[in-house]
Amino acid sequence: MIKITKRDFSPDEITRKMKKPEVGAVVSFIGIVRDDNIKGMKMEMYQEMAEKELKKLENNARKIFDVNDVMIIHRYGRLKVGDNIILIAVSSAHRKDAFRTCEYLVDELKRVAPIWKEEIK
Amino acid sequence: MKITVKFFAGHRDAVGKEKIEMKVKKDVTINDVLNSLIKRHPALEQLKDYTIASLNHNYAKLNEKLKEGDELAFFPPVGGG
Repeated sequence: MIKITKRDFSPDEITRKMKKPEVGAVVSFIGIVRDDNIKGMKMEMYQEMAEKELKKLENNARKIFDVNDVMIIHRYGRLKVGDNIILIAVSSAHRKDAFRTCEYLVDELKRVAPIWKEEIK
Repeated sequence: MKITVKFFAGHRDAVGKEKIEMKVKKDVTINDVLNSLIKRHPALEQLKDYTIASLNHNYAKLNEKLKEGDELAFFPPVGGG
């Protein structure tokens, strides 16, 4: 599932919902605004295209790996240092698929999703 | 025919607008539109080598032809996450 939002999210709540009897591993990645002597970050997004590209990524991941569920949440707008930017969570029967899928999604998302960061000094 | 052109990040700053409507001739390519925009907004010229185009929310090549009602977008290399 793909979600583009201004609002913060609860990684615990999302990963808890991914626990099902057939799931043996949940791997999550949380991207956070790092303090590089900045006040925050403005995340700009071409929303319709980002949703389409992220959906394609999810579909590709499901073809390549054996995954149960995929959740990608990306925030946009003005974020402060320490704020969550992105959550990618993957559930699978086994850990290797969950780790590999999560890494694949993070790397590919950075390459294809029409999203831009601007530092707020 | 009429098309919509959207701009993001540095390209939006160069044009000074998020979105414009344009009337273009039949069989015009994305590159033709980009070149005519550069004439109107010279600040786009220095971004040309870093310009990525999308057509109706899919990545597009500059030699693709446009049709009535298309949504074109120009932006710099992406980097979310």
